[in-house]
Amino acid sequence: MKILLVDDEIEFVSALAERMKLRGIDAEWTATPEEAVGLAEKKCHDIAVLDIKMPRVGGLDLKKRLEKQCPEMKFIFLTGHGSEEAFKNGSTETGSEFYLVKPVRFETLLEKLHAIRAKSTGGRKNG
Amino acid sequence: MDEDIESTGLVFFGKVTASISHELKNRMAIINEQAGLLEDLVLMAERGVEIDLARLNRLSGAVKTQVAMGDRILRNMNRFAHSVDSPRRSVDIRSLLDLTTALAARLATLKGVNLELYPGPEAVEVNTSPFLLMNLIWLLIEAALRESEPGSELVLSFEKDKEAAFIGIGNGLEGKTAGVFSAGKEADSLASALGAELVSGDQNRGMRIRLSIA
Repeated sequence: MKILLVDDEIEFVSALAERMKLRGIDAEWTATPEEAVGLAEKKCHDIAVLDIKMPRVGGLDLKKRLEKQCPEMKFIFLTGHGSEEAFKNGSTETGSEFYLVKPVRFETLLEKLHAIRAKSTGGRKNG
Repeated sequence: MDEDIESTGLVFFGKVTASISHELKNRMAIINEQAGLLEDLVLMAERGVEIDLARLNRLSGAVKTQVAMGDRILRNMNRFAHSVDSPRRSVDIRSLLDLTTALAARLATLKGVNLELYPGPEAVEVNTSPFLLMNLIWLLIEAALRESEPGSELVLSFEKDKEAAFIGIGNGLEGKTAGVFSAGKEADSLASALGAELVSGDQNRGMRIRLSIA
């Protein structure tokens, strides 16, 4: 499973990537949307985990750019906005049920990643 | 207090506290992942994998850094909350600008703009309402950010002459910042309530708040 993690909080995103790598997940991370597009040009990841609010280019705009590059890519969104209203708005805007509020329970994130992967591969296990 | 000003103040209070809670959530998210990583490494050690102790030390230092950042955010929140303690008092403009810059930093960062406070020539004390003045500066920062390009610099500055103190927003020395802008009728009402004037900055770059010292 190839994961792309994008968040402008370097300490957060690097620790998250490292924890995934310790579990055998092929995780790459970057703190800038521009570099994320660059990484996706080199290889299409199965799932991108994107922070919604980032300087200049937010997660929702980045999703559009990455989708052009990799139409099959799936997305999980992270945000620090924890209100119920923000959650509802976020879910509607992203068109995704995979909208997680920080701090994220790592196991929950892993479950979401595996669920998305299982759905997109029709239950076949391939990494 | 005028109803419009009260409502503008509530919006300001809401925006600042939302931004602070967002910042704190970010610190907690980082601490959460760093603690999780420490836990992972301990589990690996229990399974016989050799762990780099210097690495553990770095991680523990990183957690302390985040706690210190969270503490700084909370101290700013506390200062902000106490700005409503008295309607008018003697206010150190440098200290107030320090706080307002810290509170608005995330707003600027999201726009890709660097918000800088230029050191003033000397201490400037003004008898005013700290909350309303911060609200006015905030509105001008928001307006300036709407006019600013990503990658630019927005400068806050202050100075005084014999009669007045001046707070400048946007009039950067490099000329890279926003031009003259309007912060709307809310800013005009606040300026009026403070007995302040909104004037254009040097060479028509940015805006200045003129506060009478007398």
